[in-house]
Amino acid sequence: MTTPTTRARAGSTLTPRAALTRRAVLTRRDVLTRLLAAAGGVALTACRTDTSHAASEARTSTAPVAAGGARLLPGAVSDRVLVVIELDGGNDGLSTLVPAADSRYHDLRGDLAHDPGTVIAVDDEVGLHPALARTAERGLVTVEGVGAATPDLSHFEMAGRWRQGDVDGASRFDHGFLGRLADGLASTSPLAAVSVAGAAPDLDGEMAVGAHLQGIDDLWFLSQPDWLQASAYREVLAGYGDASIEQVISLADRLAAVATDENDDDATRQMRQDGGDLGRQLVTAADLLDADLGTRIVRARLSGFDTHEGHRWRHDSLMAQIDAALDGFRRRLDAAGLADRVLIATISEFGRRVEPNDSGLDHGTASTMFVAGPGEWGEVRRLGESPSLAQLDADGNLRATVSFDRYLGALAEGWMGVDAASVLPSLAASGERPIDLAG
Amino acid sequence: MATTTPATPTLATRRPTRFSAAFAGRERLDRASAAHLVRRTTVTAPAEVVDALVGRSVGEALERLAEEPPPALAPDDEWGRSVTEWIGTLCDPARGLRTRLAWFWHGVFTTNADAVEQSLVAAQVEVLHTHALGNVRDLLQRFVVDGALLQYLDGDGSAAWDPNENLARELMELFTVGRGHYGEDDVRAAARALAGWRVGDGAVTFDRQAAFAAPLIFLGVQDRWDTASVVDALCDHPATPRRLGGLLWADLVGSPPDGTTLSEIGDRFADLEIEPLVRWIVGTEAFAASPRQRPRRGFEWWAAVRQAITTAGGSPQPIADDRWALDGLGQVPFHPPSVAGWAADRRWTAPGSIGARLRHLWSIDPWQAFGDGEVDLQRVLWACGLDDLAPDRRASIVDAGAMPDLEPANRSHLVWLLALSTPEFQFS
Repeated sequence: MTTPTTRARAGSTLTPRAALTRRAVLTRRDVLTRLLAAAGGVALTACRTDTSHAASEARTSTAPVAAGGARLLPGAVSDRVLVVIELDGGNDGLSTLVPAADSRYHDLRGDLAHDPGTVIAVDDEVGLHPALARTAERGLVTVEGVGAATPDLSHFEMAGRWRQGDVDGASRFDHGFLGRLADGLASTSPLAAVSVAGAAPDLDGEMAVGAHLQGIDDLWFLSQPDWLQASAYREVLAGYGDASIEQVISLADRLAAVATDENDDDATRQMRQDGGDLGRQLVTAADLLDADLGTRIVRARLSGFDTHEGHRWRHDSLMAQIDAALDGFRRRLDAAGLADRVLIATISEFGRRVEPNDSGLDHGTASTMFVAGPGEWGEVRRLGESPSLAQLDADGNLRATVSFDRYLGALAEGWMGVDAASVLPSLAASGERPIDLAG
Repeated sequence: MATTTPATPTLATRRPTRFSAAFAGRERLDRASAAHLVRRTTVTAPAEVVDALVGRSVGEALERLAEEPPPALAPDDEWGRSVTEWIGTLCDPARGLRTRLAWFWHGVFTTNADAVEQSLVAAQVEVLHTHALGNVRDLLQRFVVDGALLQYLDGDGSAAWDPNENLARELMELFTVGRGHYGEDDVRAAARALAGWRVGDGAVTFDRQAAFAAPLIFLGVQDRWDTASVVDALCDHPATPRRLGGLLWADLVGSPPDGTTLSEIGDRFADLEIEPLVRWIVGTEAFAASPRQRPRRGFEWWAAVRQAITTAGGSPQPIADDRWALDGLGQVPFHPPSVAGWAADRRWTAPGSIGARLRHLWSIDPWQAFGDGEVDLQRVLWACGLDDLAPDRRASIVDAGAMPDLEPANRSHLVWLLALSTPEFQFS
């Protein structure tokens, strides 16, 4: 669609988004504290009920993990959940799954190359980033060389193509890939597709409308039976006779039944303390899945991957956040008996330039995605094909070996059981098949 | 809310023939018709503006609403500054129809500020305001060579020997005729004809060396096509007034036109003169019959909340501090989810959006916004533009505002939250 361009406006896209989300906001606690000054006391915590837990245990007992080498295949398809984590800004695949044994990697990357002795060895060719120890221990699938045959170097363009699930940017859709996937699930839950990273229009489909939650207690003000002002608000609203408002109230009740903001368990504390924005988002995701509200698709995002400067320390820090967040999240899923139902997959608009520009890496093309799901315990499995470091494109970038719609197709069809061609028109047009995640 | 639009019996019985007659210009505007007109022809529907238009003819009202100069935004390099300033313009209660139409055109002729040099945003805002009520042809001739658009859609740097098709495709698919009225050959030809533009340091220049010099076949005609003649040809195409006029109708009336109406729009809008079309749409029976039928988009709802607070004498948050809130409400100007603009109507009143709206209301600092005194219900409803609130809803708010166990400040807060949460307030 467009010729690759290195137009120097890339640096401006990340800071502002972070600034937006981190802007001081009146939190629930702030509001309550201020209001309570005038209104008299009310308990801040809601009680956790055991019903959701019992329900999830009952569910998993009917969804046996296949024995032996079975991968990614447990449970009924209709119970499965997809958690998509966008590594926003363009994650460097070569620093994530490091080709530590390749001398060209060290020649080209210079000071920014990882020392072969520090990476977590996967085989005699590659190793995972040193900060991903817990993630590696729990197991994951890496998919190398994921990108587009006709790449663009604009964040905006490539992030758009990923969200649309349109690998060459030649066609236009009114809906996002995940929104079409939600359509394919034909769920009646208003929380079937949820962003935990702010409003996400790509969760809208033909029929489905995505929701977004910042926390499980987002609707706290609708579930304060002991506080006169809030309970009066709720009562009057319920009498408005409006279908959407009634659904919001009903959701608030179900969320309140599982909301906790005190007494976090160890996994939750780890996510909050060490997992950065992603950790906080995945706490909400874990709470949501625990609440059993029919959520099938969760959209999360970690920003900061646009490492034009200071790549090494910034990327190291992000990997450490991912490790803490994912490990905590998977522990929460284990504890709730949900681990067999949830597949976690990363997306990122592109990788980064092979050769550094001093301390940083400019925009690149293909990158390594990773997928963490059930049946992978203790194993790091490689899929895709390492792009050659000897045959870079004209801009000095990697040539993609896996078209990203084949990767997204695997999430849709291989995991969620929704025909990939029906949700990824560029895949339908090319006639290619999704990659086989169990392969 | 999609299923239970607040077209309650009360609202329905309030639009007899007199209501239509007011919009057709045969009678003076009463308060209900003035409020309906202002909700649709301004961004924030200030109550004082409604007051000022009661008793006037619809023609006089529209003339008053159209009186405003384009905003003077200085180019600014700082990220987000120009967008924040434009949001301030959109929220300015002194602005009316021209600003409302600039906002409409922004949803059709989109640009994402994240993809462009920040200093270019102000100039595009000026283009939108200058031509908002003028002629689509003039608007498009300026818009396709606007620096921000050229960067957004890769017209910047496109050369005849390697033309970028992005701008050419969107010009036809989204900005003019729509799909089905051109082929891939036309996209390729238009891409060549549009080649040669350069954007740098906030200025747009044309590089003749990069332009295509030979004849091309575009829409079946062989000629020496260039940017201006391509835009003219697309504006001359009968599909353009139909498509853009239909979008304008849907935005003002709240639902798309039927086939007969669309044909009439195509005829009436053949000259692409915007203001006469707006006047005609406002005078139709369909417009008169549509109060509270158009969901307020996320930004519009946020702006209407701020306006209500301001009208009643309170202080909303500074706009720059509220940018995160717009993100949560799903609509930040100059940040459309795709080049096709914002999603269809149903999104704005789905439970996910309503939940985000209620959450936003509870995040507002009540002391600054709503004050700490005894509530004046009449004044709250006036400031919120809720004269047409369904009687049972009104009665329940009255009761809540009289709860003896609550402190006055909490009663006031409660009444405000309830008013801004009504189904009526979610619609314009």
